[in-house]
Amino acid sequence: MITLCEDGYVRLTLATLQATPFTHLLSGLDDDQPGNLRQGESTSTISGYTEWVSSTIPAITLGWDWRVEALRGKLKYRRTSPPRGNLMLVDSRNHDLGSDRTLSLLEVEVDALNWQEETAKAISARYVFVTCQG
Amino acid sequence: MDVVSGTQEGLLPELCSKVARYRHQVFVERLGWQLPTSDGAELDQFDRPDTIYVVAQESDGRIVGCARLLPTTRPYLLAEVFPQLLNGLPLPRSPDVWELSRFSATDLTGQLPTARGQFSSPVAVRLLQASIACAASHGARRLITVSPIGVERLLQKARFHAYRAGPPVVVDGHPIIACWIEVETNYVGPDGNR
Repeated sequence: MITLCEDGYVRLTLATLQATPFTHLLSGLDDDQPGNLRQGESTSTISGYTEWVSSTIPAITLGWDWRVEALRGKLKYRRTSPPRGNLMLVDSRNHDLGSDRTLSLLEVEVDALNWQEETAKAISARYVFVTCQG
Repeated sequence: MDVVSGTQEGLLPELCSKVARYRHQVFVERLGWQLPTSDGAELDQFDRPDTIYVVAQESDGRIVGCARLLPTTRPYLLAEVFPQLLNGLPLPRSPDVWELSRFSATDLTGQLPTARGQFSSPVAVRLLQASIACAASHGARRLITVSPIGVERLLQKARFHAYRAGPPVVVDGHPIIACWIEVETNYVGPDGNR
Protein backbone atom coordinates (compact mmCIF):
# COMPACT_ATOMS: atom_id res chain seq x y z
CA MET A 1 0.00 0.00 0.00
CA ILE A 2 1.23 3.50 -0.82
CA THR A 3 -0.16 6.29 1.33
CA LEU A 4 0.18 10.06 1.06
CA CYS A 5 0.19 11.35 4.62
CA GLU A 6 -0.65 14.73 6.09
CA ASP A 7 3.01 15.61 6.59
CA GLY A 8 3.62 15.20 2.85
CA TYR A 9 5.53 11.94 3.06
CA VAL A 10 4.46 9.03 0.90
CA ARG A 11 4.69 5.99 3.16
CA LEU A 12 5.29 2.47 1.93
CA THR A 13 7.28 -0.63 2.83
CA LEU A 14 10.58 -1.51 1.23
CA ALA A 15 8.92 -4.47 -0.50
CA THR A 16 6.35 -2.19 -2.08
CA LEU A 17 9.07 0.20 -3.19
CA GLN A 18 11.03 -2.64 -4.75
CA ALA A 19 7.92 -3.70 -6.67
CA THR A 20 7.28 -0.19 -7.97
CA PRO A 21 8.67 0.67 -11.40
CA PHE A 22 10.24 4.08 -11.91
CA THR A 23 10.56 5.97 -15.16
CA HIS A 24 12.90 8.75 -16.12
CA LEU A 25 11.32 12.20 -15.80
CA LEU A 26 14.10 14.61 -16.68
CA SER A 27 17.82 15.12 -16.43
CA GLY A 28 19.95 18.19 -16.70
CA LEU A 29 23.50 19.43 -16.61
CA ASP A 30 24.70 21.69 -13.87
CA ASP A 31 24.37 25.16 -15.35
CA ASP A 32 27.99 25.99 -14.79
CA GLN A 33 29.06 23.17 -17.08
CA PRO A 34 29.43 24.10 -20.75
CA GLY A 35 26.86 22.45 -22.94
CA ASN A 36 28.84 23.38 -25.99
CA LEU A 37 32.58 22.93 -26.09
CA ARG A 38 34.23 25.17 -28.59
CA GLN A 39 37.43 24.19 -30.33
CA GLY A 40 40.32 24.04 -27.95
CA GLU A 41 38.13 24.03 -24.87
CA SER A 42 37.76 21.11 -22.53
CA THR A 43 36.04 20.42 -19.28
CA SER A 44 37.33 18.18 -16.57
CA THR A 45 33.94 17.57 -14.94
CA ILE A 46 30.52 16.98 -16.37
CA SER A 47 27.86 16.80 -13.68
CA GLY A 48 24.15 17.20 -13.29
CA TYR A 49 20.98 15.81 -11.83
CA THR A 50 18.38 13.26 -12.80
CA GLU A 51 14.76 12.85 -11.78
CA TRP A 52 12.68 9.68 -11.73
CA VAL A 53 9.03 9.12 -10.89
CA SER A 54 6.59 6.28 -10.29
CA SER A 55 3.25 6.01 -12.07
CA THR A 56 1.48 5.39 -8.78
CA ILE A 57 -1.01 7.74 -7.19
CA PRO A 58 0.35 9.33 -5.10
CA ALA A 59 3.52 9.63 -7.14
CA ILE A 60 6.88 8.71 -5.64
CA THR A 61 9.63 11.04 -6.79
CA LEU A 62 13.37 10.44 -6.59
CA GLY A 63 16.22 12.62 -7.74
CA TRP A 64 19.97 12.62 -7.32
CA ASP A 65 23.14 14.21 -8.57
CA TRP A 66 25.63 12.49 -10.83
CA ARG A 67 29.00 13.00 -12.42
CA VAL A 68 30.50 11.53 -15.58
CA GLU A 69 33.73 9.66 -15.01
CA ALA A 70 36.09 8.06 -17.49
CA LEU A 71 36.77 4.42 -16.67
CA ARG A 72 38.92 2.26 -18.92
CA GLY A 73 38.20 4.46 -21.86
CA LYS A 74 34.46 4.51 -21.30
CA LEU A 75 32.30 7.25 -19.84
CA LYS A 76 30.32 6.20 -16.79
CA TYR A 77 27.62 8.06 -14.90
CA ARG A 78 28.17 7.85 -11.16
CA ARG A 79 25.72 8.96 -8.46
CA THR A 80 27.30 11.68 -6.32
CA SER A 81 24.57 12.60 -3.86
CA PRO A 82 22.12 10.73 -1.68
CA PRO A 83 18.71 10.39 -3.33
CA ARG A 84 16.20 13.15 -2.70
CA GLY A 85 12.60 12.10 -2.46
CA ASN A 86 9.21 12.33 -0.89
CA LEU A 87 9.04 8.95 0.80
CA MET A 88 9.35 7.47 4.23
CA LEU A 89 9.77 3.71 4.41
CA VAL A 90 7.80 1.86 7.05
CA ASP A 91 8.04 -1.61 8.58
CA SER A 92 5.37 -4.28 8.52
CA ARG A 93 3.63 -2.59 11.47
CA ASN A 94 3.55 0.71 9.61
CA HIS A 95 6.15 2.32 11.86
CA ASP A 96 8.55 4.78 10.24
CA LEU A 97 12.03 3.43 9.62
CA GLY A 98 13.24 7.02 9.96
CA SER A 99 14.99 9.38 7.56
CA ASP A 100 18.47 7.91 7.90
CA ARG A 101 17.43 4.28 7.44
CA THR A 102 15.10 5.22 4.59
CA LEU A 103 17.94 7.03 2.88
CA SER A 104 20.33 4.10 3.25
CA LEU A 105 17.81 1.75 1.72
CA LEU A 106 16.98 4.20 -1.06
CA GLU A 107 20.63 4.39 -2.02
CA VAL A 108 20.70 0.63 -2.52
CA GLU A 109 17.52 0.73 -4.61
CA VAL A 110 18.67 3.64 -6.76
CA ASP A 111 22.03 2.00 -7.41
CA ALA A 112 20.21 -1.15 -8.54
CA LEU A 113 18.18 0.88 -11.02
CA ASN A 114 19.59 0.96 -14.54
CA TRP A 115 19.44 4.76 -14.61
CA GLN A 116 22.73 5.59 -16.27
CA GLU A 117 21.74 4.70 -19.83
CA GLU A 118 18.44 6.55 -19.69
CA THR A 119 20.08 9.60 -18.14
CA ALA A 120 22.85 9.61 -20.75
CA LYS A 121 20.25 9.46 -23.54
CA ALA A 122 18.31 12.34 -22.01
CA ILE A 123 21.42 14.47 -21.65
CA SER A 124 22.52 13.74 -25.21
CA ALA A 125 19.07 14.61 -26.53
CA ARG A 126 18.88 17.83 -24.54
CA TYR A 127 22.36 19.22 -25.05
CA VAL A 128 24.69 19.45 -28.03
CA PHE A 129 28.27 18.52 -27.41
CA VAL A 130 30.89 19.63 -29.87
CA THR A 131 34.02 17.63 -29.20
CA CYS A 132 37.45 18.39 -30.36
CA GLN A 133 39.96 15.66 -30.95
CA GLY A 134 43.43 16.85 -30.32
CA MET B 1 27.17 41.04 5.35
CA ASP B 2 23.93 41.76 7.19
CA VAL B 3 20.62 39.99 6.95
CA VAL B 4 17.48 41.97 7.72
CA SER B 5 13.84 41.05 7.53
CA GLY B 6 10.50 42.76 7.62
CA THR B 7 7.44 43.80 5.69
CA GLN B 8 7.50 46.63 3.17
CA GLU B 9 6.38 48.91 5.96
CA GLY B 10 9.12 47.74 8.27
CA LEU B 11 11.98 47.99 5.79
CA LEU B 12 13.39 51.17 4.35
CA PRO B 13 11.68 52.15 1.06
CA GLU B 14 15.04 52.34 -0.66
CA LEU B 15 15.83 48.77 0.41
CA CYS B 16 12.48 47.53 -0.90
CA SER B 17 13.18 49.14 -4.27
CA LYS B 18 16.63 47.59 -4.37
CA VAL B 19 15.18 44.15 -3.64
CA ALA B 20 12.63 44.48 -6.45
CA ARG B 21 15.38 45.48 -8.89
CA TYR B 22 17.64 42.71 -7.59
CA ARG B 23 14.87 40.18 -8.17
CA HIS B 24 14.43 41.49 -11.71
CA GLN B 25 18.13 41.15 -12.42
CA VAL B 26 18.35 37.64 -11.02
CA PHE B 27 15.07 35.97 -11.96
CA VAL B 28 14.08 37.81 -15.14
CA GLU B 29 17.29 38.98 -16.76
CA ARG B 30 19.71 36.25 -15.83
CA LEU B 31 17.58 33.17 -15.20
CA GLY B 32 14.97 34.00 -17.85
CA TRP B 33 11.83 33.48 -15.78
CA GLN B 34 8.61 34.85 -17.31
CA LEU B 35 7.43 37.12 -14.51
CA PRO B 36 5.46 40.37 -14.30
CA THR B 37 7.82 43.34 -14.30
CA SER B 38 7.66 47.11 -14.28
CA ASP B 39 10.50 49.56 -14.84
CA GLY B 40 13.22 47.06 -14.01
CA ALA B 41 11.47 45.78 -10.86
CA GLU B 42 10.03 42.32 -10.30
CA LEU B 43 6.90 42.24 -8.14
CA ASP B 44 3.81 40.06 -8.32
CA GLN B 45 0.45 39.67 -6.60
CA PHE B 46 2.10 38.01 -3.62
CA ASP B 47 4.13 41.10 -2.77
CA ARG B 48 1.60 42.51 -0.36
CA PRO B 49 1.71 44.61 2.82
CA ASP B 50 1.87 41.41 4.93
CA THR B 51 4.63 39.78 2.85
CA ILE B 52 7.87 39.38 4.77
CA TYR B 53 11.21 39.82 3.02
CA VAL B 54 14.54 38.49 4.18
CA VAL B 55 17.40 40.42 2.62
CA ALA B 56 21.16 39.87 2.64
CA GLN B 57 23.08 43.07 2.10
CA GLU B 58 26.77 43.89 1.99
CA SER B 59 28.22 46.83 3.92
CA ASP B 60 28.30 48.90 0.74
CA GLY B 61 24.53 48.50 0.36
CA ARG B 62 24.68 45.88 -2.38
CA ILE B 63 21.94 43.24 -2.20
CA VAL B 64 23.44 39.74 -2.36
CA GLY B 65 20.40 37.66 -1.47
CA CYS B 66 16.70 37.73 -0.86
CA ALA B 67 13.81 35.50 0.12
CA ARG B 68 10.09 35.99 0.50
CA LEU B 69 7.88 34.58 3.25
CA LEU B 70 4.10 34.33 3.09
CA PRO B 71 1.60 32.86 5.56
CA THR B 72 -0.50 30.05 4.08
CA THR B 73 -3.61 31.55 5.71
CA ARG B 74 -3.77 34.02 2.83
CA PRO B 75 -3.15 33.54 -0.94
CA TYR B 76 0.32 32.24 -1.66
CA LEU B 77 2.27 31.19 -4.76
CA LEU B 78 2.04 27.42 -4.36
CA ALA B 79 -1.73 27.49 -3.71
CA GLU B 80 -2.64 29.92 -6.47
CA VAL B 81 -0.19 28.98 -9.21
CA PHE B 82 1.50 25.61 -8.53
CA PRO B 83 -0.84 23.38 -6.49
CA GLN B 84 0.24 20.40 -8.61
CA LEU B 85 3.58 20.47 -6.81
CA LEU B 86 1.88 19.05 -3.72
CA ASN B 87 1.25 15.64 -5.30
CA GLY B 88 -2.45 15.67 -4.42
CA LEU B 89 -2.07 16.76 -0.80
CA PRO B 90 -4.66 19.36 0.29
CA LEU B 91 -3.19 22.85 0.27
CA PRO B 92 -1.88 23.86 3.68
CA ARG B 93 -3.87 26.70 5.21
CA SER B 94 -2.42 27.05 8.67
CA PRO B 95 -0.76 29.76 10.76
CA ASP B 96 2.10 27.36 11.49
CA VAL B 97 2.91 26.72 7.80
CA TRP B 98 4.65 29.48 5.85
CA GLU B 99 5.78 29.58 2.22
CA LEU B 100 9.33 30.46 1.20
CA SER B 101 9.78 31.68 -2.36
CA ARG B 102 11.88 34.01 -4.56
CA PHE B 103 15.01 32.65 -2.86
CA SER B 104 18.30 33.79 -4.33
CA ALA B 105 21.82 34.28 -3.02
CA THR B 106 23.57 35.78 -6.01
CA ASP B 107 26.19 38.49 -5.91
CA LEU B 108 25.45 40.41 -9.09
CA THR B 109 28.96 41.80 -9.27
CA GLY B 110 30.33 38.28 -9.65
CA GLN B 111 29.92 35.71 -12.39
CA LEU B 112 26.62 35.28 -14.11
CA PRO B 113 24.48 33.36 -11.64
CA THR B 114 23.74 29.82 -12.56
CA ALA B 115 20.85 27.89 -11.15
CA ARG B 116 23.31 25.84 -9.13
CA GLY B 117 25.79 28.58 -8.29
CA GLN B 118 23.28 30.81 -6.58
CA PHE B 119 22.34 28.06 -4.17
CA SER B 120 25.72 26.80 -3.08
CA SER B 121 27.37 29.72 -1.28
CA PRO B 122 27.73 30.44 2.44
CA VAL B 123 25.45 33.43 1.82
CA ALA B 124 22.75 31.03 0.63
CA VAL B 125 23.05 28.96 3.80
CA ARG B 126 22.97 32.01 6.03
CA LEU B 127 20.01 33.45 4.15
CA LEU B 128 18.15 30.19 4.49
CA GLN B 129 18.90 30.01 8.21
CA ALA B 130 17.67 33.59 8.62
CA SER B 131 14.51 32.81 6.65
CA ILE B 132 13.74 29.82 8.85
CA ALA B 133 14.37 31.85 12.00
CA CYS B 134 12.22 34.71 10.72
CA ALA B 135 9.36 32.35 9.86
CA ALA B 136 9.70 30.73 13.29
CA SER B 137 9.39 34.12 14.96
CA HIS B 138 6.02 34.47 13.22
CA GLY B 139 4.76 31.12 14.45
CA ALA B 140 5.86 28.85 11.62
CA ARG B 141 6.55 25.22 12.48
CA ARG B 142 7.00 24.16 8.85
CA LEU B 143 7.97 25.91 5.65
CA ILE B 144 6.96 24.92 2.16
CA THR B 145 9.27 26.18 -0.55
CA VAL B 146 8.51 26.70 -4.23
CA SER B 147 11.87 26.81 -5.89
CA PRO B 148 14.13 25.51 -8.62
CA ILE B 149 15.66 22.11 -7.95
CA GLY B 150 18.84 23.92 -6.92
CA VAL B 151 17.28 25.01 -3.61
CA GLU B 152 16.57 21.40 -2.69
CA ARG B 153 20.17 20.55 -3.55
CA LEU B 154 21.32 23.38 -1.27
CA LEU B 155 19.13 22.07 1.51
CA GLN B 156 20.65 18.65 1.11
CA LYS B 157 24.28 19.79 0.85
CA ALA B 158 23.90 22.10 3.84
CA ARG B 159 22.31 19.24 5.80
CA PHE B 160 18.96 20.87 6.42
CA HIS B 161 16.21 18.43 7.25
CA ALA B 162 13.91 18.82 4.27
CA TYR B 163 12.06 16.61 1.83
CA ARG B 164 10.23 17.21 -1.39
CA ALA B 165 6.45 17.38 -1.61
CA GLY B 166 6.13 15.84 -5.05
CA PRO B 167 7.72 15.41 -8.49
CA PRO B 168 9.28 18.46 -10.14
CA VAL B 169 7.31 20.31 -12.79
CA VAL B 170 8.93 22.12 -15.70
CA VAL B 171 7.89 25.78 -15.94
CA ASP B 172 9.32 27.95 -18.74
CA GLY B 173 12.02 25.33 -19.22
CA HIS B 174 13.02 25.23 -15.56
CA PRO B 175 12.18 22.32 -13.25
CA ILE B 176 10.66 23.60 -10.02
CA ILE B 177 9.78 21.71 -6.91
CA ALA B 178 8.07 22.16 -3.56
CA CYS B 179 9.95 21.11 -0.43
CA TRP B 180 8.95 20.82 3.18
CA ILE B 181 11.32 22.25 5.77
CA GLU B 182 10.75 21.44 9.43
CA VAL B 183 11.49 24.53 11.49
CA GLU B 184 12.30 22.81 14.79
CA THR B 185 15.03 20.57 13.38
CA ASN B 186 16.52 23.34 11.24
CA TYR B 187 16.29 26.39 13.45
CA VAL B 188 19.65 28.02 14.12
CA GLY B 189 19.75 30.21 17.19
CA PRO B 190 21.78 33.37 17.66
CA ASP B 191 24.64 31.24 18.99
CA GLY B 192 24.77 29.43 15.65
CA ASN B 193 23.61 26.10 17.02
CA ARG B 194 20.64 24.06 15.80
